[in-house]
Amino acid sequence: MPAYILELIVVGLGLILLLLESFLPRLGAKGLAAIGSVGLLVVLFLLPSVTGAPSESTGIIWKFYSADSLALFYKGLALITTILVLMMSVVYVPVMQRYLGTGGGVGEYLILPVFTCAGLMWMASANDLTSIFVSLEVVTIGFYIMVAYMRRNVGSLEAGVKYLILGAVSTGFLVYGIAFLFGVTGQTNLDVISTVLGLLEGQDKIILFSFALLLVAFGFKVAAVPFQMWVPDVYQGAPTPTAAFLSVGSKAAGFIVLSRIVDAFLGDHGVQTGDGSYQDQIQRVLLVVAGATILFGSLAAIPQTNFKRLMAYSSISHAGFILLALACAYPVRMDMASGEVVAFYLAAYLPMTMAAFFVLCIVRSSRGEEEISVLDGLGKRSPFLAFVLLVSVMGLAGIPLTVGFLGKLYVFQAALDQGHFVLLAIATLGAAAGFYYYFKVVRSMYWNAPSDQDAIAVGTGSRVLLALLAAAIIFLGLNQGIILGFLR
Amino acid sequence: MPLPLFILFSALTLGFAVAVIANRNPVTAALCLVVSFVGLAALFIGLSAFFIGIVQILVYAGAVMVLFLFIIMLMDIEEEERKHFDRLRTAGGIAVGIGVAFLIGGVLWDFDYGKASLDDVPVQFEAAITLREADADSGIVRSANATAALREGRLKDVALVGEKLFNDYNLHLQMIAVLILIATIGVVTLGKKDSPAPDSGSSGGDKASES
Amino acid sequence: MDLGLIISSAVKIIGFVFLMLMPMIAYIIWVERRFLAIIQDRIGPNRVGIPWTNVGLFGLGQPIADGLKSFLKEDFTPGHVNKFYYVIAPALVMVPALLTCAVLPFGRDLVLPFLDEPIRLVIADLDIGPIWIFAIASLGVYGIVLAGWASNSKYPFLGGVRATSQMISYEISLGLSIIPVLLLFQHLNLNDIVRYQSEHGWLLLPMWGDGWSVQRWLYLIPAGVAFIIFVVSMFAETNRTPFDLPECETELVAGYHTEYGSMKFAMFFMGEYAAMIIGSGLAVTLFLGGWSLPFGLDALVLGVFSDTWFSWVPALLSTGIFFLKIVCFMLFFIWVRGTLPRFRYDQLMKLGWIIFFEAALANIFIAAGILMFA
Repeated sequence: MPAYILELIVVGLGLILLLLESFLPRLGAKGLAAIGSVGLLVVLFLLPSVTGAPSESTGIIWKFYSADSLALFYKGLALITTILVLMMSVVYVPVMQRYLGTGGGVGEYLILPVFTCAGLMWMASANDLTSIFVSLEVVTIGFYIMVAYMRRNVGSLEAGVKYLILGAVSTGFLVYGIAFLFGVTGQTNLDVISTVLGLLEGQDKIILFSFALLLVAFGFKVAAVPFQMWVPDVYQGAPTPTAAFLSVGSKAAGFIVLSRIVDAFLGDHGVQTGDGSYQDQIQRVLLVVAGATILFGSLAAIPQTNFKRLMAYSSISHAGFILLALACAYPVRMDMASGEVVAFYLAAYLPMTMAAFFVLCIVRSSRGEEEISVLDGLGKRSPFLAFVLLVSVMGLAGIPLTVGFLGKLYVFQAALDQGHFVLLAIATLGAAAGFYYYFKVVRSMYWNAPSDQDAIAVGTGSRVLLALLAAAIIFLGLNQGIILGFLR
Repeated sequence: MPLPLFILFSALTLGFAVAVIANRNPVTAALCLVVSFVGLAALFIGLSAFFIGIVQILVYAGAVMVLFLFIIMLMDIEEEERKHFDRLRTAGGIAVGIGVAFLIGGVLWDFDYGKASLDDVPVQFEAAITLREADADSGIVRSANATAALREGRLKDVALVGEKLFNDYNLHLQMIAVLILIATIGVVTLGKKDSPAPDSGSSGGDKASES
Repeated sequence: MDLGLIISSAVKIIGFVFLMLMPMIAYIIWVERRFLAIIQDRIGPNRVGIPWTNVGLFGLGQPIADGLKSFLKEDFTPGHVNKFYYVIAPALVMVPALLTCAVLPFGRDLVLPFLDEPIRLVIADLDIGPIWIFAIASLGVYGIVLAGWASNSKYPFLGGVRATSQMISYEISLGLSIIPVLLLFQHLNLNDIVRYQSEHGWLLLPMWGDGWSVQRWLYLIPAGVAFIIFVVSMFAETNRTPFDLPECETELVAGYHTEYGSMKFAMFFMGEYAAMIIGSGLAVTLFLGGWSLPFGLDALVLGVFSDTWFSWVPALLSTGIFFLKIVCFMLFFIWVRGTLPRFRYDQLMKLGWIIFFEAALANIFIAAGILMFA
């Protein structure tokens, strides 16, 4: 079965859900989410059996669509993320209904992630500037709507408007970048572009300029400094499941595309030579952005009191780490390519972030706030939730024996390998700051006195999922071979 | 396309694009954008891209901007007030603008291919026909109608665009179908009226036409 | 760009637009008034003939008198309007309406004995005919919207708003309705379309040439549906009864041109009629064979006038036929105006969005199915 069937199935699933939502309103949010998750699970199980481009007669689609192992890996990430987001949305529905007014329903909120998932999967496979652009727009437009979905909530609307305007600006940069790159090379396929760029001489300026424009665009998507300003407000205002989706799904898709583009620009430049070529300068730019992102994210997270804002800044700092991995192209002494380090980090980031947001969803639906203080005494009130959140923030901070530690370890190794010692220092500083601000959450849960004693009700399904996520964080941390196995 | 026409239409496009930003009356700004689109369409048509040019008018000038104008008039958006920016910000904005202009200027100055004039690149009918025949041999559908027209030295750009779109860029076409579906869902959900209470916003594109 | 092209284009523009279209606009108004009078059992304007004599000529002087009147009237501009847009709006209605006629082929290629190449009787022989007409016609909305807005009073504003939404809504079904036509002809060049119909049977009358085939007769179903949708949408696009809600006098005084007088008002009037004529011209071209004669008579005519010195006759004859068809179509317009009551606004929107839009979409699939399997 060719890989592009998967997206068709996902889109078909979305259409079925749309019809079910309008003709079988009895299903309700739970039914929709259940059908959606089961469908996506089926696609997830189909994933290993798909085939890439046939070697002999290459159809036209394979010019725009690749199904290498990296693409399949990211497709898997997108599917898992979407399933978790659907589950999370069911928990979040009561909160949402408060802000929908009398005319709105939540059905579409559970269906849009499915379509967006198809977009994410297309992005994972996009290896042509045109398909990158179109699939990116599918994803972004889905997010515009999901962010602003609670339309009677000023915060959600504000987040929606901010995301829409800044997203549109970044799309503009993307199109300019594509136009310049197409002007230089006359090609849109990244593989061909890579070859053509290698043959060009004396065009460094315009190549760098087009790369800069593309970097601005994807900097917005992955929340790299200085294009991170939308992140805290949008995370805070958006419905919590959407914030989780944004921080994992959107980021992962942004990084796969960015890594494909960086690969195309660097070509087979090999080990960093410091010869002042444009490849060299691109790496330097990436390093600077990575350093700034880690520093900004980590330091700005420290004074936060709102849990979602904290997660937003932490996601910025994680983006910095991933960018650092991306900048360390072609580590020689490691047996992992930089793309694999990036993929590993993102795979590790998924369960940790999802678990944190899931717990927050549950807490939010019983208490109306999202400040960190809401977690006060959670360790006594709901030890299970507190434990899951503890595991997840431990992972996010990068404490050994969790998968987050391994992700950071690989990044540090890659940086060490390339001899970027300044960046190593910055990354260490960022990781240390991480320990501090994640500890605030732990302190609030276990040291602070609870404001009320009632335990928070957790459904069986959520309980199982949370347990699975916590187990994944620890188990994947102990056994790094699993993720790597999927990667190859 | 003749150089004087190119200059004329470029000036039209750019001049009115500047006027869009400079005008404080929203209706005037929207209409300036329309004229700018028409200039752009003329540029396309001058480059023998009739279809793209006319679709530019049909879609942007004829439909999108009419809706813009419609919304501006319905919501009765007032003239924008003159804002006072502090000097630092103004200076910063100007500096960034000039910097970017210099950057693009410098980049383009160094760009070799950009120096070819349009007259140097005629439509390559021969090459196009050869390419199409090769495609047809390898099983990719090519419209015989358009090939025949190419042989006569006519550029059937609608057929060529359609062929590209539905064969080569079929994947993109389907992605865009999903995109439009998502956008429609979004417009309907975000713009839905509350059943008993009066509506407070009109973000629903064509729904607004039922006023 | 050679001189011959420029001269022939100029002649065609002057000939077609100023010598044929403009007088036609003037006289179609007279025809409308007389025809409506007949429908309503009245007499209509029958007195204006040759000045200072008693010769009435059935009132044929009426359009000239009307024109003189609107030119000589005081050009009054109300004080409360937005002057710039108030003045520019009538032109914005008139100009696009006239621009659209650039791609309408109004006759067979004119063969002149002293010229090597035949002259194509179309101002601009573009390969994007119908799209050009739709695109430019859609710019006509601006005139109406601006007229409504710049007048700065309630009735014109309501008229403008109605006109906008109505025209945008029906543009969709108008555009979709002609796709089956284009699917069959595989041309977007209107001249090619007419030539095809001249040889293989009109779209709605496939009774000669290749027209006698199962496919073409089956195709009458989608073609007929397309024709109905096209014509009705055209009524809505040109704001004609029964869809003249933007200017309906019982509710909105005169709609978007309430505040206009003298020549400015006449410009709106002429723009509307020009749009009607062009619309009829497009309908005739797409569905009823344009300038061609039915039943393969074209070949006969060509045969009779094959002599070098009379080779120009078929072209002129075909132009006459084209205008005859348009006039018949216009009479249909007037007939509808005389007999049908006005729709309600919500009915209009429902018809456009719920019936025509879907019908046009389904029609495309039916047409494609017939082309594939029959």
